[in-house]
Amino acid sequence: MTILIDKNTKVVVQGITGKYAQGQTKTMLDYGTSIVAGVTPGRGGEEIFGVPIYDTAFEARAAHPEINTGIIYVPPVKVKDAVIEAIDAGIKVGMIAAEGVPMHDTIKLRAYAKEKGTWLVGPNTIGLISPGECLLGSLASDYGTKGPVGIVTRGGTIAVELIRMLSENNIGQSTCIGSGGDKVVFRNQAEYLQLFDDDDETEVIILNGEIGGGKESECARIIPKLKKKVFAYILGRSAPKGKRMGHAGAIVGSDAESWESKCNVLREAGAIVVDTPWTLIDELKKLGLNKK
Amino acid sequence: MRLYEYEGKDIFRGQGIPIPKSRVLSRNENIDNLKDLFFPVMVKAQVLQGGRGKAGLIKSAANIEELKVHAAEIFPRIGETEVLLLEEQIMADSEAYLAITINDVEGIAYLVISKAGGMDIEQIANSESNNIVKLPIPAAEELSYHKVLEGVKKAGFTGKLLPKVSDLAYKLYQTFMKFELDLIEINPLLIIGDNVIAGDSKVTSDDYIIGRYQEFQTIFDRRDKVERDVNTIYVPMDGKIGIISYGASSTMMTVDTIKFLGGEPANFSDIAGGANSQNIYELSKTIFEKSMANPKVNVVLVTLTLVAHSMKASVEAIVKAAIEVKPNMPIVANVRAAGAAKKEMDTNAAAVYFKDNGITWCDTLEDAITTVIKISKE
Repeated sequence: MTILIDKNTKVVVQGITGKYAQGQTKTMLDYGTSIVAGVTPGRGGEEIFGVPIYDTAFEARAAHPEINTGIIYVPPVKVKDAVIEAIDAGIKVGMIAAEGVPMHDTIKLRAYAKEKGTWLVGPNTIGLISPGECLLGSLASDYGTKGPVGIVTRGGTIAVELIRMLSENNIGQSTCIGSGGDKVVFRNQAEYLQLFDDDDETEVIILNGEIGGGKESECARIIPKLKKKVFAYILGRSAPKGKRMGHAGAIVGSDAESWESKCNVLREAGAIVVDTPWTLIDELKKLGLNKK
Repeated sequence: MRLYEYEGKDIFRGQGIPIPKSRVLSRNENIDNLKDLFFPVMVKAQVLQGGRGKAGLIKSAANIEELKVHAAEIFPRIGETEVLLLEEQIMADSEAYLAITINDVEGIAYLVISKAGGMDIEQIANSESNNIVKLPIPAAEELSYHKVLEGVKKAGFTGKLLPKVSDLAYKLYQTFMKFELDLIEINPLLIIGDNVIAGDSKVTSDDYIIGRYQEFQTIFDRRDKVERDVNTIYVPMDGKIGIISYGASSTMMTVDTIKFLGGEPANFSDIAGGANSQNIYELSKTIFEKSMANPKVNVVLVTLTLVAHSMKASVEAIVKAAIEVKPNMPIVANVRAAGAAKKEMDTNAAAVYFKDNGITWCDTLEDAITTVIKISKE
């Protein structure tokens, strides 16, 4: 099944005429993602890479009712308006790549999306990929291979590295998602764990987390209820106390947010906690996942 | 951005949140020339670390002589600010706690009220005898005053303190919303009879929108250059291996793995909001320079995980910095690029380019990591 995106995903790209958006759109089209329409107010009637552009998300969806997914490539301070537009136009899955969305905007969007039944990925996400079926965002198209391992990360480049290393070792992926590097994201890793647990094509789940905040502790609360094995790889072992490691969310506030604490609660919950991606690969090979 | 106490109290003053009478004493101010001093006065170092009292960074001065002694003793211990906060000494009847924080798991803010403050909030939270009230602040609606009043009453405040603390808590909420803050905390909230005053101030703003509010932009502009550089991020660590990398999560992966395998990283680095040749060059230059200046560092690791930004541009920017700075130590590189990043230069070409410029190339990241650890121990 894969989660959230597959070969039936039909995409509208908001802000498609921006320079970055254009590059990303081309990469996704080359991958085989079905990008059906684009939106930039004032550019309706034009087209790019064969994709028709509309002034509003409503118009795009009216012309192409099969659209179920939106990618929002607008500047951070415009994200709130664009996402509300997308949700009101009826899209069910949205991806917000922007780093810099004001936290209070994220809080409002998160509540609104959940109220309307829309699943938003991000903000500050590299994207998501179901190898062989669909790519949203800039997760490297070269690296993914289809297989039984589900991956959810916080950060972007770690998602790239994990897919690369798994694929190099013939361990395929069902879906890989970057849940986002910010302190508040639209959906926490725990929610993705649940989706993976309910997905027929996923046999084993990799949970990546970081220092800072309580999202990994939340995972520890649901892991005992899951059917599938969870491998946990937590970043920030070497982080000096009180220092922000890049991501807005990666700063240790209290003892419970430290690397040790998170590894401990996850281990106690039944996750297999690994020290490096290389030891993770060894563990996955022990399960015979590299033969599929 | 975390504000110092005096900066947070400036914000409080502007928002009508009661604070003690105070003035700021600058590092090189001649105390004898000051006309508006008042005694007894609390002399408070302005640092972000907690536990100032225990560390001897808060002292009481009964007269100008004692003030001079305390200032002369405290100032040399502080590198991060150029002022001491002088506040009227207040004999409080009790200390309470008020804060608004964002819960990252639930994605909403909470107003936290406790009649027992002054101690570390984790102790407060763990102590069963305290009634800590946590009021959720709904994401899309305004928090009604009556909910605050009911919360403050539930926390145990009665009589005239009930409306006083409620008003203050509500002002805190309005300030939190007005500036889109990450955190606002008063601990201790001093209770003197029927009056309440903020004994301390902790304010954390959303780094993404500093420019939106002039008060915060002004504070930000005062920060030293390293902190103000929100794009190129450099976190020093106590080690021997300099690291040029960006992409916070893959960098943490590398730094963590080095540590796990027995190596000592000298720094973490990242570029926020989009890498380009200019900021990659600047980041590399900074790290080469700092690595050279640090007698402990004897090797630099270059590692990149590229998907969007051109490998050619990135590699050239790093080599440009290396040529300029000429770090007198080995540089070891492994870079990985996919998709559009590989268009102008592939991995083999990158390897050749590095080697041609005197940089050691390793075929895998694992090799590069074990190589730098080995060199660092020589």
